[in-house]
Amino acid sequence: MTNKIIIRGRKVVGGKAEGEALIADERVSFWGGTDPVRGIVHEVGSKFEGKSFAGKVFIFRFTKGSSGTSAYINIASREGVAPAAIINTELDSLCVLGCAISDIPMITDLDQDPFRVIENGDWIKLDADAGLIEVTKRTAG
Amino acid sequence: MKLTDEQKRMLEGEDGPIIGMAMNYLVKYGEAMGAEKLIPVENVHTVFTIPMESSGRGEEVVNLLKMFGQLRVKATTTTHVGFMDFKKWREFGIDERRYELQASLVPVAASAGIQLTWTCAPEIVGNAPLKGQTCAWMESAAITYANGILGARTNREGAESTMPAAVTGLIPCFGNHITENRRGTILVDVEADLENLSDWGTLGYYGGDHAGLGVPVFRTRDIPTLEEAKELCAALATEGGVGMFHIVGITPEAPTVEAAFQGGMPKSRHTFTNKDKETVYKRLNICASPDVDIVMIGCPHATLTEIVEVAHLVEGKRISPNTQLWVCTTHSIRSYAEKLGYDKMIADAGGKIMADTCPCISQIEMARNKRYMTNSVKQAYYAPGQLGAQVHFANTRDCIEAALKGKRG
Repeated sequence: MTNKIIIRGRKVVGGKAEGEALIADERVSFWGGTDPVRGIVHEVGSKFEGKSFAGKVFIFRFTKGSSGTSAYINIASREGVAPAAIINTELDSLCVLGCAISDIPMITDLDQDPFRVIENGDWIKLDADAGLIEVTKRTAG
Repeated sequence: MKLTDEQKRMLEGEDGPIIGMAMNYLVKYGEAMGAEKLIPVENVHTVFTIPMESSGRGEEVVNLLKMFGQLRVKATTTTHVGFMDFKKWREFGIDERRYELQASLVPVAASAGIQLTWTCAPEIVGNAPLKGQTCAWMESAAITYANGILGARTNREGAESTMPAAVTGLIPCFGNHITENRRGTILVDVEADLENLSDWGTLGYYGGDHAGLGVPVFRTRDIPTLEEAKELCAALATEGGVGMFHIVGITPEAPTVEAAFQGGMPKSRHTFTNKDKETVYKRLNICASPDVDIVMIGCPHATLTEIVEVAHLVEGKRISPNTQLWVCTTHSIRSYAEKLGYDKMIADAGGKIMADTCPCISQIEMARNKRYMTNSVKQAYYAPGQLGAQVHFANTRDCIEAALKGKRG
């Protein structure tokens, strides 16, 4: 019995990472929607509201809104509270810029719908250069 | 990414370590975005300010900017807002240490050739590039204005790409720099009555919500004023991440629907009705109390036309003692308003013109956790997260009426 799922995608920013999944079918605004010093989403009404992305594999649709996104990712990285990796289903140049400058692995163009396959708390191991995401389900399936 | 021999030498540090670092940023970013090359950039809107206070990295960021400031910029370069009113900083509770740090950047910018406009709306202080010009702009509201209204070309850039672009004169070529990526993705027919700039903001919110990162094409009966276009542009990048859009018959790349879609078909069609407009008003109006502590006008920064309108609405009247009225704009436009007497008309009524910043950016203590009224979709959208605000959103006239009474309605 396996509780592992393999998802293939495309590298945006290379590197390897692992961490707990923080996932929702949401758009995220880093400026205005997060506290980059504490690594917490504070956007009112967001499915991520009140949750920490520090050290997590942060999975959402794309970044919306302000051009402060790249700077806020960079601040979070310098504060040691950045996500371990980011997986987006669509690419906003601002999130890519933030990840590229802060060396945060980033993957997109997945061969499965992450919002159906991955749940909060699943353990994610990824190799962005190979475009490989290994999901270990939190509860044995 | 294919670099020219000269670009390779720049990357290797032959033009000095700062250019080497800037090129490293641009190459990393360009490769991640799948850009094939770097192209010359003519116009940059970047950030040149001390950082937010809570990051505790004032000195570090100032030193980084001073390092970049040793070079002369290679493109017309204006600057985004800062975190304080550089003249009335004391009045808004900024401490002297932060002011001194900001002041230390002024001669550095002058020597580098950077125009310290400190605004989210560079187009209103003379940085208005023409159709087809290659730009590297940050500020989501200015980006949509540059692409959609002016037909200039910029991607959604950030601090880490615009300063390198300014000093190298280069930016990665992808996205909005390529003609076919500027074609429309969704069509929005506008049935709603758009009677003021706040209404245009609700259209932007709706367009961004439906287009996501795409390119909405609007078909409207009305031609927006500059101020209405500015609100539309700001709101497009709130719930959405729009960088480019068209208004059929009005914006430079959309003489017809066919031209806006470059001969292709919309992925989806929508109709923006008065009901949709009301839905956005309801979504943003989250304050349960009719009381109003602060009225904020000028997001993006107010033009002189908006300041004249406010001055006439408050002329000879008094703002409620329980309410603050802040009109946010650029230092250059405030100087006009001072010389022409509009600043005095607003001040005599008890209001203030705040320059170089806005409450959501500066996050000043006196603006936190208030009942906060604004005519701007963008300000209303971000004030709950940035300021802990309970928001009222209404048109300019209703906002000023509330400032005079201390409450709505």
